[in-house]
Amino acid sequence: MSIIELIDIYKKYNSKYILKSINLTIDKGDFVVITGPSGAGKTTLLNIISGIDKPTKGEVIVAGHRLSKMSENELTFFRRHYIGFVFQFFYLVPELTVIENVELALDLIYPESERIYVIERKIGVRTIKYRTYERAVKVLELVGLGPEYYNRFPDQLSGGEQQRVAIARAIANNPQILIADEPTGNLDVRTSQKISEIFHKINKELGKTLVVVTHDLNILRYANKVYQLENGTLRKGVFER
Amino acid sequence: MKLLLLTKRMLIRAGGKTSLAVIALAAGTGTLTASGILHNVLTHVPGAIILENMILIMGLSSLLMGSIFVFFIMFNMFIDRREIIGVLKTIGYPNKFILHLFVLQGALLGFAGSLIGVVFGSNFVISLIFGWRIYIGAFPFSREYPYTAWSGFIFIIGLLLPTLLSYYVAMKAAEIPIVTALSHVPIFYEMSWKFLSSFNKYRYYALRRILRNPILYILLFLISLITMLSTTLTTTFSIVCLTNLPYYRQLLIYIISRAGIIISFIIVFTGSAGYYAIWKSENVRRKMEISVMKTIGWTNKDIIKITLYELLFIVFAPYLISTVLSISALIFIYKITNITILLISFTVATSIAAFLLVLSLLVIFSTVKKSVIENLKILEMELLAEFR
Repeated sequence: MSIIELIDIYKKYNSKYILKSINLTIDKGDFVVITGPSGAGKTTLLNIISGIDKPTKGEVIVAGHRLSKMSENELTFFRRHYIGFVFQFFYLVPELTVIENVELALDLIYPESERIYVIERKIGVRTIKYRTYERAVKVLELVGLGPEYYNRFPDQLSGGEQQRVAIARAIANNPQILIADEPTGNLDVRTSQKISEIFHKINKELGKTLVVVTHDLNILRYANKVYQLENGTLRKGVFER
Repeated sequence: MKLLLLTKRMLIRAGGKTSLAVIALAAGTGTLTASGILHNVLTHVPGAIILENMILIMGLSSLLMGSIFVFFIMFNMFIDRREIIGVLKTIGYPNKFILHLFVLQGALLGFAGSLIGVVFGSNFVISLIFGWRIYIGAFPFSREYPYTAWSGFIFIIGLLLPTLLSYYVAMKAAEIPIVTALSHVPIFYEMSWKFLSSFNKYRYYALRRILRNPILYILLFLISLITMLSTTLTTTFSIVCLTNLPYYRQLLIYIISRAGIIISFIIVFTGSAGYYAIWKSENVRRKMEISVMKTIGWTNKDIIKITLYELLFIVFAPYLISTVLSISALIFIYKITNITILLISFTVATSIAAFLLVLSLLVIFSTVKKSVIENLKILEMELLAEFR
């Protein structure tokens, strides 16, 4: 069953076609990797899949929604519930702690009225915890960050840890599709190994569909479909299992 | 929602600049509020209009400067937090959230500034400091001058002006497309103007710098203009009052020697401090350029020449405008033709211009003096600190 369907996509930017006649079908539970030289339009393709950008021509169907016919507000709502996005430069909010950064994505899904308060009584101290907190803890455990990280700020974390928080934020709202734009581009080899294992875990254990733009062999290893984007056209990659 | 938490933490992180804006706003609203008392005290004194005008000019310019600071802080926040805005939108936050985030910050700064100003400029506090001779009364509605209504009006102006300016920035921030927010393209695209090519290379480069970041340079221009104009006018007026109106000397000395001088001092302080802060933040970007230019083979002299051309716009032009405006105002509106007084106003403007010039050149000299490697190292550290 296909979850992402791109039919004859064209994207024009500054009177030049970046994407030409792209046809792509991604099934549920796939781990898709897109490679290609810089400037080939990989990020644009990801933006179109996730509803951040709109194609000049063509049809995008993601999880049964026709993105090209949706308004700005509908797209916002769509991204909130169906898409998780991981960036190369992490983009954590520097003013918020780790747990607050993850809760950022959850605040939108659990409206104020539906939140369940969990009141913990310690000796003399009463802490109120939201349902978002529980979910954030669960997700952070999944990416391998323990309680000692929860109240740290992003500038107190290493690059790998920051990217883990970013992944946790992306999967916190339980999206069907996780999209990552060069997630290990800013990390060293050993850290990117760990990050790619987390991606594998998300794909296998949670059954999410992953679309990743990368050149990292660590991630390529786990992919079951590899595409190459060159001069705006997509073709099947050489690397396939 | 994380709206309030984010607002609070972002304001705390902006730190020094925010307190500067609040001080300027407070000085402005405080002076304007206090001018109500002055009006009440001076209603029966002939010729007191000059003194009132002076206080009004001081208050208005300080208020304006505070609002410009708020605008600058919000604008800087928008540029710095561009990627975060993009991420918030990607996660699924609506445009409204970002609008609220920015407007709330501006409004909070405006609220804090005007509240402090109105409290410190209030009848009660002013009488507490300067003596109960000028106390109008606890409930001054019944008086001939509606003092309470006046303070309320000033409070609303002090709240609305920064809020509206930050609303403008917030709209820009809310409407920015995600793709633009996340790409590293400069928000102001470089303009290529044909006539620029006829200039010599220093002038050309200086103009390109100004055009690349016009808002910043316009802010610097406005700040130096307001500082010079208001200080020149207030000092000259106080001297006029002191010399030409001897028969209510006591009251005038009383007010000018305390409030007037303190507030014009605050204007100069906040003006030059804000100028310095903005110029310094621009200088972080300049460090990279200077290092590159020195590596290519430009000399220190060349770099300082370029800076002097920039200062022509942000210090010398406001200086010319403020001198011409203040002296013509003195001659044509207030009919003051005393050469000494005109000279004094000229000297005040010149000294402030010289002060700003020295301030900005010091920053440049400290960068130019260092070697290329040293500069790059500092730049790296500063960028890391900003990137946190």
